[in-house]
Amino acid sequence: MTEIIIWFITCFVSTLGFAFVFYKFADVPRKFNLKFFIVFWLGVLGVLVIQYYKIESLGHIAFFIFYPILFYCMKPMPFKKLFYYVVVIWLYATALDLIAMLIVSSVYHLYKIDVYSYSFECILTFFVFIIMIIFSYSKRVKIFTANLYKRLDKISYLDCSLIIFSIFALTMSVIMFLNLSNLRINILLLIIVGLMFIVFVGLVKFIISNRENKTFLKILKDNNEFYIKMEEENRIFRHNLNAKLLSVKSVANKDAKKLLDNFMLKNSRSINFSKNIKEIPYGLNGIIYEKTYPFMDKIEIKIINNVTFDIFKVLQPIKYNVLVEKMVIALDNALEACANSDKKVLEINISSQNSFIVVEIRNTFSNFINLDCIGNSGYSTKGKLRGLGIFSALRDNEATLNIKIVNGIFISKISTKIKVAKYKD
Amino acid sequence: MVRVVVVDDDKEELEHIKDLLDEVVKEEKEVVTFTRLTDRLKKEIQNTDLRKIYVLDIEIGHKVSGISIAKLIRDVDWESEIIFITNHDKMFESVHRTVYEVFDFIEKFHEFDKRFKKDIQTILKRNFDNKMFVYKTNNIELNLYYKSILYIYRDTAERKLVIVTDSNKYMIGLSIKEIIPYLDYRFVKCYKSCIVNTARVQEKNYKDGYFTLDNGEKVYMLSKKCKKDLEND
Repeated sequence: MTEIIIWFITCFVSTLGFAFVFYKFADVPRKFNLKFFIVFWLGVLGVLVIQYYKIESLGHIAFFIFYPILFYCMKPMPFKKLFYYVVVIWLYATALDLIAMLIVSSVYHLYKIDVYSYSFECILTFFVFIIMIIFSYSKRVKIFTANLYKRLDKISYLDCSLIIFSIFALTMSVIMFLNLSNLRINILLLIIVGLMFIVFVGLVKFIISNRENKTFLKILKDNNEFYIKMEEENRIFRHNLNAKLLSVKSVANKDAKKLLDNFMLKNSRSINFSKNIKEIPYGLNGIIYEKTYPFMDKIEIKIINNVTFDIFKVLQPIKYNVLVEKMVIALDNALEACANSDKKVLEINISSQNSFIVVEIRNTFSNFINLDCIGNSGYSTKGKLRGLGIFSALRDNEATLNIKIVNGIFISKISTKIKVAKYKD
Repeated sequence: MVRVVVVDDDKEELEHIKDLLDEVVKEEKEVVTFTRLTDRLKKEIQNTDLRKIYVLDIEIGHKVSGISIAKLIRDVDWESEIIFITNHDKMFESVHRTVYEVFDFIEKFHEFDKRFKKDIQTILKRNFDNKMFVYKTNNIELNLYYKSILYIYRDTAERKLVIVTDSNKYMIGLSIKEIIPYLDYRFVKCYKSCIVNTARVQEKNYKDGYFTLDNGEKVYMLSKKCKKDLEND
């Protein structure tokens, strides 16, 4: 009975230690979590059974099954990140275990105490637990762990599979060629090598296209920075200009004052952003700014953004490209139609709805529209040799475009599906 | 019966609006109140069977603002009326008024009671005239208030119908006969290839064969043969 109690305390302490390290490193919110308590105690009992009956082989398997579940209960996160934390904490714990074991065993050896007893295990666990608690408060280790994840996160599943495949192929080839004299099925071997080569080429091709897309998106991101800077410089310029005009106004005559007032009123018009332009998703902000800027004086523009996460993380490059392409087509049409309308009002609404990113453009217009021809190649309200925009935008399924006219408002709704797990993270 | 949906995070304000509604609405009414966007409110929005007046506070102190709720309403319902209550943010009034077809923006601290009562009375007086003409093609959906349609005529060259509204013209692939089921009582045939919104007509001159609309436009498509139908209306 005493043995069971000691093992129970040991298991409880070690599980608590792991959970505490994760709590500190992953910034788990401090609130009561029933799921965590249930999984925690079930885990403690499971480890107790394994330790008590000395089923060593199950120990590591249980670790990699139990802790991901426990950590997920503490803080839901994508599988990749969860797996990373489990492995990293396991590595830290193993290293600390080794250090603790060396210290405690040397002390025991000095006093000639039996190191194979369960009491030794218990004391060792307590010792490791204390070191883990101290260790988990280390800011350097925490930052190092977070940075290491950021670096590892850049490695895609494709890169991983290529590395694993290359190692596997190399090992297999070496083994086979070393035993070549014993092999009678050379043709089979040739086929296997051939297949391996094809798969290898396929994987390389995949990786290259993935890299190309990423480079393209990076350039796009950099270009956006330029537009954001331009907006800031423009604002400063207008502010300074207004200040100077005000000083001129103070010494001007009546007519000149009127002229200056008109000029300043015109100059003070700008695009209304519900949030700072920087907060609009990368890529979309630059494009919206570039497109709307020339119309700033002509149209009343309102931009509402409710997307607070990085859309590059939740959209595949191809989906992102199609979303941008369709948005540009819809925006071009909207701005041109709106500028020629009476009310001259345009609203861009970017939001995430369920598992979709939605860009909705609403604008006024004053055109003669043939409804049956909208979306047909060659039809445009803007003249001959136009009308390919909506025709092409209605055709790609990576992002859908829905068009509606309600009481003189043209509504273009572009939506594309996102990866939900990453969005929630 | 009229149904009024009020969304405001201030419970005292909700009670105050209820009192004002009691004062001004004499017919049978039902007032439902919400302090934020809930599943019940979403269901309420989805239910478009009843004629409704939405009274929305713009700043409701949650992630979802009154403007977002208006967007949800207009995704499914363009027939109900929306009144916004605001503290000071009239910055985007013209944009929202246009794109969400908002009836009015009322400032909380500036003659609120007077304007609110007046708005409700106006809405009730015009009897929720927000019925819509809906036409769908493969690529586009057209929704127009009947009240905004002036007249519909047949373009003989294109052999299609042209719907003329206050601000735009829309060409659709229907015949005069086919469009009649889409329209309501106010639309009457006034010429062999023309249907007019009688509610928008100010003057009919059968002798010279034209009618004048409330926007001043003269349309020479009035036939004596249709006089009986037009005058019966």
